[in-house]
Amino acid sequence: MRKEIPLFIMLVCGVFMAVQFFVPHELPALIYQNLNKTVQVVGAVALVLGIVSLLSLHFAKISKRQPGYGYSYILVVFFFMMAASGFLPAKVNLGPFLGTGDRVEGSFFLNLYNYVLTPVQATMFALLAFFIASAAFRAFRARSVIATLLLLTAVVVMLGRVPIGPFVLGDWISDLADWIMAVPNAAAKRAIIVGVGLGILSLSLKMVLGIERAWLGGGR
Amino acid sequence: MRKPLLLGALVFLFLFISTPAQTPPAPVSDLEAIDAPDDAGNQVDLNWKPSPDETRAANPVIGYQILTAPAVDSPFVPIGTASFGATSATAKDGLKNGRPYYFKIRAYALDSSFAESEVAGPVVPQGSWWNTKPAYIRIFIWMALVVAFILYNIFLAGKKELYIRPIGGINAIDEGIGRATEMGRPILYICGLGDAAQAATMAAFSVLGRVAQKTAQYQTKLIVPCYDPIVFSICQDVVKGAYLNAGRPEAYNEKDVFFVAQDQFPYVAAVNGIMLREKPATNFYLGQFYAESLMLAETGFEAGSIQIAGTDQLIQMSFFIVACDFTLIGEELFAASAYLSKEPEQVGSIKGQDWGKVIFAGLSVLGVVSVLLENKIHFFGFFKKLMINE
Repeated sequence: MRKEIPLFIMLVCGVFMAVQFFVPHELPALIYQNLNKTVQVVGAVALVLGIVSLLSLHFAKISKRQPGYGYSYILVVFFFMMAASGFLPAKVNLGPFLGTGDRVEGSFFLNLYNYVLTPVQATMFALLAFFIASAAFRAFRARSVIATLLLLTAVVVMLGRVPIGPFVLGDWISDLADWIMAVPNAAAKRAIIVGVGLGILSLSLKMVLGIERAWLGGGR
Repeated sequence: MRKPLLLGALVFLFLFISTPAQTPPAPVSDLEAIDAPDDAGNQVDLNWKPSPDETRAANPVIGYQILTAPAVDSPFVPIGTASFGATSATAKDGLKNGRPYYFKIRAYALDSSFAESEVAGPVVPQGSWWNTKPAYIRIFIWMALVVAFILYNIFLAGKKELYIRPIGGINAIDEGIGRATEMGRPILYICGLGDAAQAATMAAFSVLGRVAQKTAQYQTKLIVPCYDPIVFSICQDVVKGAYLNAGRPEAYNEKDVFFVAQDQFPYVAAVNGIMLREKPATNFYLGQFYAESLMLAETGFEAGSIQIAGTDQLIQMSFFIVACDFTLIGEELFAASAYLSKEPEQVGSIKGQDWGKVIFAGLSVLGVVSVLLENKIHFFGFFKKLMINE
């Protein structure tokens, strides 16, 4: 029964989801909406499990003094600080630097969010530029005919997309870049999209029919 | 003082008598009310011939008001408007399925005088049980055709051996697991940032099941940091089930499959940290990825791991191709689990999928030819109408 019940649920839900796309009646739409709400409820419950998993992992690291356990301390402290800041009574005032307990601009909760989390996230995102540069350096080395073709195409597209390209070389470079993006690039993208669509259809069918069971750990 | 007042009164009286009275507009004609097709219900389509007074110079019609009532003799209430020139509208405000409704259209002139049409109805709005719009029928036929091909090939696979082309990226999955086992280092498996309902994530679950079975057999550590809490729960179950099926339930460590953060860059920071500390021999990136794809793949490269990626996100695919050793492109991600299993039914499904591509390529060529030759050869005109026109 450990596998039969999930497979049965998958069969019923899979067939329903496929059929409801073609049925405009309000009844399937209502069931669809309620199923989506159920997913939200499951998500909320799963979030609790996730938090338990996260904290137990880091508590274990701290208690066993595993390498890098200091980071676990930081995670646990900030986890509880962020959670507690959301529950602070509105009357609490932690001073001009930390902020107040209510949920308006200048509160402790929003200060943590705006002046700790957001800058850290922006820093991470900014690193992407360097990752792109290093990846491009490796990708665009002209080691073969195809790699050289890739390099030349990339140079044309890059020059066509920045103001200095047409300024120095004329409008033909931006026209050529546009053509590359609109014709060969779009053709390749569409071919991949068709493949993805067929792949999704095939995988869904196998899952619904119970042919694909690896998501249940495999086996018969 | 009296003279100007008297004069003013006389002028006003003269103007009042000499100005011709504004005639009310002619009503709309041939009002027709039908239950709106291909909808969830609660809607009625109205069609009419516009008032002939829309174009008259003096006091023209400027718009229409839609009125409804549950019975002919009940008071009609306005439920919507239609602009000047309109000949149809969909009435939906306040309508309920299964109840009769009558309709009238009121044509308004510039001076607010109006004329009402004949009553149309009764119409009982109902929800449709099948969408008959051409686009939906085409999708249905296309889907049914591909499904039929897949099922036929699955059936065929049970009777004879089918050949499927070798896919480098999928063959590399076994190599990656073997490498990790030989080096005594862990495997890192990332299911992406998608939720559990997304096809790419489902494909990632399937491959995870296969990978986990192998790591259970070879006793290699498998680390699965998760972004989404539902994905985390499913991954735990998939890995646990795979270890159970491999006959090594005791080797499963639930702390190896863990939730990290449901926020993109904190997740990336944590996973990059794991890569640099644990130095995994092989990294799998299968699922839905966004801006973090290159950050993860470049860090994995720095850590010296073999990297196998697959996603349905087109832009991220190019990043993975650049930074990873093997990339599953397009449908290869969805075929990976079937390919790894080597089970006849699974192999048959890949074959069916390939046949779907052949049909699509054929239809695409036929579509291009139809657009070019629609006026010269009757068949192509018909085909274009069938496949392209709404």
